Amino acid sequence: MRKSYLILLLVSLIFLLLGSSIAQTPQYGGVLRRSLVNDPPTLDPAMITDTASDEVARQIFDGLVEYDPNGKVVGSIAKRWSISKDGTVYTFYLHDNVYFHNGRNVTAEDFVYSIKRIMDPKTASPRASFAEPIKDVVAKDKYTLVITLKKPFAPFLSTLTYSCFWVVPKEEVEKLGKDFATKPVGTGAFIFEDWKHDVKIRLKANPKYFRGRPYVDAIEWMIIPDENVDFMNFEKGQIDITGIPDPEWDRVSNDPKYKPYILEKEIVGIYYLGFNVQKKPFNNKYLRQAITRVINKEGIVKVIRRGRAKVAYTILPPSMPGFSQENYNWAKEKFSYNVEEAKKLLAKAGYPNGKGLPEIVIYYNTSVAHKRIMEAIQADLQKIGIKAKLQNYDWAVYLDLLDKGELPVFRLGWVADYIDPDNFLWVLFNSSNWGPEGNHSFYKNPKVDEYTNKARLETLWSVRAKYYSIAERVILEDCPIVPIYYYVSQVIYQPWVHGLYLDPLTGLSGVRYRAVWLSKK
Amino acid sequence: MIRYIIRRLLQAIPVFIGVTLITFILFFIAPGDPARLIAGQRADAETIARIRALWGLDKPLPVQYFLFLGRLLKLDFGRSFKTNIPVIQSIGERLQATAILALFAFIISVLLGVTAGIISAVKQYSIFDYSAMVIALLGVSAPVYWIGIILLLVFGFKLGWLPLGGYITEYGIKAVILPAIALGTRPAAYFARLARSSMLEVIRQEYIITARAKGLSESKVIFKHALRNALIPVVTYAGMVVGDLLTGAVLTETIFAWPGIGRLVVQAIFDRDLPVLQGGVIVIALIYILANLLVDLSYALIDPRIRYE
Amino acid sequence: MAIDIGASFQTRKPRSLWRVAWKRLSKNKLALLGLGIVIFFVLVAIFAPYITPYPWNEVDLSRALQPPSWKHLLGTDEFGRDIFSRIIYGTRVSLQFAFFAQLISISIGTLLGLIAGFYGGWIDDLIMRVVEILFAFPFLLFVIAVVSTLGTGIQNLYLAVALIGWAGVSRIVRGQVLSLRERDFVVGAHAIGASIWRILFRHILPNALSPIIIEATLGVGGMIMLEAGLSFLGLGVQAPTPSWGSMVQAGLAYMRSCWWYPIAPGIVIMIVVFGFNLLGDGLRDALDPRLYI
Repeated sequence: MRKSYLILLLVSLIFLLLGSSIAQTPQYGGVLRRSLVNDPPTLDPAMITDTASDEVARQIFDGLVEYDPNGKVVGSIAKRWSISKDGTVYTFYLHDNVYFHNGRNVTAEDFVYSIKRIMDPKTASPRASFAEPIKDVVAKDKYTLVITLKKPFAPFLSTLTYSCFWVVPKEEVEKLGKDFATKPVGTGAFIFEDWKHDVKIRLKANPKYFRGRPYVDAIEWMIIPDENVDFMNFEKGQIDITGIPDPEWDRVSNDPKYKPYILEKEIVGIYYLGFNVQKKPFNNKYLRQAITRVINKEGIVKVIRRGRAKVAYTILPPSMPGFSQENYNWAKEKFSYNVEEAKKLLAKAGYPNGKGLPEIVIYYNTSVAHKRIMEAIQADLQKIGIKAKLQNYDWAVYLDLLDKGELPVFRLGWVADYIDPDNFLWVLFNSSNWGPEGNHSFYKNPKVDEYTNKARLETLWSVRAKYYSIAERVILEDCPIVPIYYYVSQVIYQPWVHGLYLDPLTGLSGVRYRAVWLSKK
Repeated sequence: MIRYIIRRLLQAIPVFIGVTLITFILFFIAPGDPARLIAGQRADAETIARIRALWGLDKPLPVQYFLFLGRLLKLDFGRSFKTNIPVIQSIGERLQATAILALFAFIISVLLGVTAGIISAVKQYSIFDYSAMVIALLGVSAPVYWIGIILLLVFGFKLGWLPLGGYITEYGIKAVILPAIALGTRPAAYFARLARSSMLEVIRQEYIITARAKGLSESKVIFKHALRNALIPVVTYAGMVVGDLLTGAVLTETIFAWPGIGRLVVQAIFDRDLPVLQGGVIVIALIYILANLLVDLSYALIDPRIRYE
Repeated sequence: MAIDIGASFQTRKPRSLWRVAWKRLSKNKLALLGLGIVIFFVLVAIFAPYITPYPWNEVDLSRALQPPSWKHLLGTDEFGRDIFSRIIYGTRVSLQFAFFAQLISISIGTLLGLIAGFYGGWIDDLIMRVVEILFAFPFLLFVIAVVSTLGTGIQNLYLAVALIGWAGVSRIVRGQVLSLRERDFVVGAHAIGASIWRILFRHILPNALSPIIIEATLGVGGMIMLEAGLSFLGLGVQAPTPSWGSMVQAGLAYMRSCWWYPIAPGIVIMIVVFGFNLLGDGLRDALDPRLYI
């Protein structure tokens, strides 16, 4: 008897909680208003490398597969697929009712064209390397696509979610040439309508979208470069969804008016401080460990980031498959903030109380947000007698110097291109990727190389996960980077916005707005 | 007159070449590779090489520069490295926005500045004179972005009278008011001081004293005789103000989300977008030169003594 | 400023000119106010380390963003540093930058202006052509380009200013030299075989000094604003060194919750630049004999 009451109570509680969203049925109509800090450079999927372009183009284009809100690969234009036993032949069966915005039916040939376009040196796609594992791509029949790989590559299906693999119509690309980047034609839920550069981009609903027309009539992105001004616009109701500047977080997140309308999600990325391990004195493992121990990550996350990120101890973020709780606990135990232990490590490195250690320079790329964190780290280093100064460059110079290995201590962030540990551990730490290809620490450890290479060819997940956990442990011990925090994405939306979710990979910029609807207007 | 104009424009050619050469040299001595930037944080060498080849960045520097000059002769500014949009189109769009902003800022600054300056001069050492000059001096003394944010916070956010940044295509003419005030404050203050001092100078000159002696009314003296002559230095400064308004707009445009040329060029610096940078710098130099030419020509209108050979 | 380029020079002895100028200046209340402000802040800059209640770089995250109190007159910033102390120390940073930047551009400008005006001919043509180019080249954009590519930091700021900031001064000095070149005392010195440098520095420069001084004084305010503008783009003085500009920039993000944080350094900038402008205006009135009031 008591049990059934409890169940009744639970059920009614669940209804109460869900009540607000169940009470209303989705409505059609209205204009969804977003903002971007800068004009997207390009809306051509083959050229996209930044989040602003990605967010807009994602509404216009579709690929074979995509991530669902939980980070699982699900079909998009491909309704199903099969992978050969040896892991080299992928066969995709496409929906037959997908149309480009110009009215033409999408066939397997379109995917052949789109993928070969990225591989073509003449396109000079910055993401050509994503197609590197592909040996051949053919249309077996009108709606069947076969992709053959040079050798097994376990993360391949995940990589197909990436923007460069979205399908584009050959006739429009050839007709528009370079202007395709500003007048994109895709298959997506929204059709490109108008773009006033540095002011506004407008897309309208695609009534013939193969998964049904989206709820809103149009989406508009206002270009607002200053984040303070952007947030004022949100508070005035001029924008429906936006991010929250760190300094505003306390006020906003404690305001009952805003609190229910904040979405939060851990995304697959880390913010870290890197060392060039080939450069003196940072070739000294104990020095790196000492610095790792003296950085007060909790303080940075709590005070500077206002608790909006999660303190990191591992390379792989918790939302990445392959994240090892064991490694996390081990690293937390060994490397959490402890000034006394840091002093001991520094002495072990041969610099008792910082004696004999020249002043070091911490580099970062120009940004107020990075500046705040670097200032905090600099103050931490002083606690064990390490003198440090800061130096910033704009991103172009910064990348150049990083590639050349000229920055001994630097900050970087890494957000996954696709959800697979390969995108972190192989890219950032395999010695074949020194420099521009991702390993900016110029780190080389035979064991890490061995396991990250083996994990690429292996197709069985449980075995791969083990390889990655072994490699990660070695890296954590060597400290070529200091993980500071795992990124958490927060957005705020107006009460009239419904159906919003955050993408597991990139947060807001990965959202497809076809599921979002408005209860106002 | 026409020959004078043509001569002045021909004289500007070396200035253009100098300006583009400086931009070019600055661009290539600076570290940072546009191809690398286009390729993104993680990129392989092959991809970077392809992008370099696509934009002709693999050719020797002098060749690149002369190819650029050659295209320029055909008025071809090329396409943006970053967006692939023809530079001429990008600049055209932004120039319109900057021109609107600069025009309003200019009108505000002349109206406010010259009026205040003249009243101050006529009523020298009065309370008005002192307070106007103090306000004018304070006006040149505050960082424009600081004023900008405060204006937005007060008039856009708290009072809600004006839009919180954005362009006239979105909010109509209301959108230009706050940025024009933010941008116009400095020139207004200059105009006020300039108008005051040149007015004071003119008032003391003999023909004014004569005019007074003849028994003309004070207002007639001021408006008929003094004003015209007092405006000459103001007009001179107007030419310089154009340059100020164009580059001062960099920060204003960022704060007020105004799609102007200053923002475009600064972004091009950060993006190593050489074609846009070159185009922007040339256009700004051209405007500067034209504005100064216009100033020189307008002397003739104000001061009949000046003639052009 | 362009209108003073051709300022004619009275053939008084320099010393009496300065005395007259001082007398005029001391009668100008606003100019004295400006002088007072400037002297006050120069003293603050010199004695900064002795008058700050807290070290400017004392980070304590546990007391971040506190409102103004008796303990922290202007509250604390996001690192728990005392804003009042940072403003005081920032006086030193901002004024030092402004003074040296002005010194550099005035020195280069004066030298090149002297050379151009005195030698004339192709040297003059060359220098003036370069000046024209630099004038057509937007100053702020040039500095942004130099600093963003070579890296932020005070040396690169100086470099950028040295490369372009001299143009205006050199034009003024050249104008002065041209009007002085044919004067008796210069021609005479030339006739008795004085070296060119001696003529330039002993005879021409002292007589061309007043527009340079006016330009220099007014320019200090401009340099403070330049640093502030660059700070807005993250290109100012290197963190964590406090400059007023970088404090305003850091504070603007906290405008909504801690308005005093961006307002305080902004007001200080206003007062100081105001002071320099008052003084510069006063000097112009005092040194420019045409405006004998």
